[in-house]
Amino acid sequence: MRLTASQYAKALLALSAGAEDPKRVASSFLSYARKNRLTKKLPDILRIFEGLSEAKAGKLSLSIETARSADAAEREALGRLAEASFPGKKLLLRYVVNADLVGGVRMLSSDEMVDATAKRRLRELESRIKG
Amino acid sequence: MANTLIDELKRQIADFDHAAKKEKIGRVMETGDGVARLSGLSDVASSEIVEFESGAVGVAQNLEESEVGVMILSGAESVKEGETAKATGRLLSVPVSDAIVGRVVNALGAPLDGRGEIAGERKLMPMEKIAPGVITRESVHEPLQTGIKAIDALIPIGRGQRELIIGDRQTGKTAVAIDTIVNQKGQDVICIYVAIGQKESKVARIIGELAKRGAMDYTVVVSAGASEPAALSFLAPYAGCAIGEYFMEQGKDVLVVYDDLSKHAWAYRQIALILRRPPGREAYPGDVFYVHSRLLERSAKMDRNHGGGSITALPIIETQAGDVSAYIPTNVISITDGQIYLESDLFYKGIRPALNVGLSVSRVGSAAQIKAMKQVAGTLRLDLAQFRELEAFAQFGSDLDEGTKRLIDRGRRAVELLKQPQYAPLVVEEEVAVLYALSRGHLDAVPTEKIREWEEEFLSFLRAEGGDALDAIREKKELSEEVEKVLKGRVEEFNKRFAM
Repeated sequence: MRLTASQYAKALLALSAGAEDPKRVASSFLSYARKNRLTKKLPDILRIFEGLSEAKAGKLSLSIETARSADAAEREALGRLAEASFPGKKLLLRYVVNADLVGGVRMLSSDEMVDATAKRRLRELESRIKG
Repeated sequence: MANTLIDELKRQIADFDHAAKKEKIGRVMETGDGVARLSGLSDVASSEIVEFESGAVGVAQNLEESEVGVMILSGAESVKEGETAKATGRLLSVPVSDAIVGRVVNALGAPLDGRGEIAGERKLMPMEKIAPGVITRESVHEPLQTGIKAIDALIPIGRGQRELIIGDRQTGKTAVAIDTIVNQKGQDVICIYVAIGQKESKVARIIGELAKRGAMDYTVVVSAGASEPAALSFLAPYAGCAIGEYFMEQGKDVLVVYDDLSKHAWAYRQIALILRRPPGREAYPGDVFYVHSRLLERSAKMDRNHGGGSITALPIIETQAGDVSAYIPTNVISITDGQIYLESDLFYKGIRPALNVGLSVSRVGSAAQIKAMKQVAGTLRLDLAQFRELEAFAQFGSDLDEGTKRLIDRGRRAVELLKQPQYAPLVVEEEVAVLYALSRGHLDAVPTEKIREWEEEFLSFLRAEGGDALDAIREKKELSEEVEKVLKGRVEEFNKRFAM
């Protein structure tokens, strides 16, 4: 029976819960993956596993993208904005510069986004005017 | 004008709501061959439009446990791994207005004919829609004249019917459909020609012929060419049907030609295999029947309480080596209300349209014929069937009894008379006049090789001098004693001239 990446990730999460030696769990799992030709699925399995682990620990990886580099005060303000947008989670913030955004800020988790960029506003305004 | 435009722009900018909202997104894990696999987008719906960060647009097709398979409609080359995509909350639809008539558009409703945007207030018609229910329909009773004698006499089509045109390549399937469109001039029927996976040169030639004959005044062409992504070929018939429904809801009669559903099935198979759906028979996905049945069921004749409009469908299927028992042909035969079967052998023998009368059928039948046509075509099918049975004995000409010889001669004349050149559809009164002459024996003295010449000159005669006969048939729609007397007089008068 072929299992999905999600099922493998959940199994790995269960194995890793309370494991005394995480290194041993990791190498056993990789050995199992090699033996059963799961290497192509590994990136998906690890991505899902990471999301599940974070969710279990009440954490959330968030990428904060701005058009230009933010100074310390701006980063603090952005951090507060992130906490307001994603309440109840322990946020793991990563700051990224993306000049393509034109201006504003975009916050991305694995499955949610708050887009307050100038690029989005200009695009929506264009489609609204075009009708 | 400039001030009005500036004021309007200022108003739209002032009203513009630019507050940022939290949205569900997905990330592209893999992309290629017109399909993208996304992680996330946990609450996307099936057939919901998905917009990519790069501006590409797609439709959610596969909803799996941890990923979504998206069929990309436009901008596939710009989609990159890792980029985000979001669900729009909209289902796939095509913008339609009255001004779409006469235009050439793609499967998304965007114009392809270089004449600018389609004017008018456009209504978004959903590509996928539940077919009209039983209660809202009425039975098919109004003829849709193709202008092709063999079809109008033997395999009549009614408004609201689905009649399949099936045959091998180069047997005249598209020619039958185009002649039907050309014959709708002045008949108050909106025509929609959906070109699926066709060569661009073929589509251009068809548009040229339709324009030359004034047919583009009431025709919409939806084109998803062979160089377009398979996604557009898959959506094109649904777009054509949605455009038809726009006019049907106004109480109008619509004719939609799907040319052809074989290529449509290929496009769907390609998309399904790339999406890794399990392949079934001939590698088609398991729901290939439903792909066509839900399309063709949207053709209907609505009752008066629901506008009285109709959509008549002429789907086309291409067979391989005459095999009508293959998977897709049998699927579509079982869905439609009859088939027009065109044979290569007949085509090469010079019998064009290459109609196999024995294997062709219209399940609506004479309910879709005017009474006059029923009166003259009633025995024609039997005559042709008897002729086919006796044809093998024709070589023993001298040994046959008079009755058999007469049947064979009559059959030969019927076959000759039913031949018709392309782009020369006849109005129904002319068809009735010609078939009347055949069925009442007025052609028995005309040599078989002169039948076509007789017909051409007889029609010219009727148009020039015999208008009273044609008018009588057009008005009464039946061959009453009085009408028959006029028509008989004209036929006899012409036969005297022809014999001289």
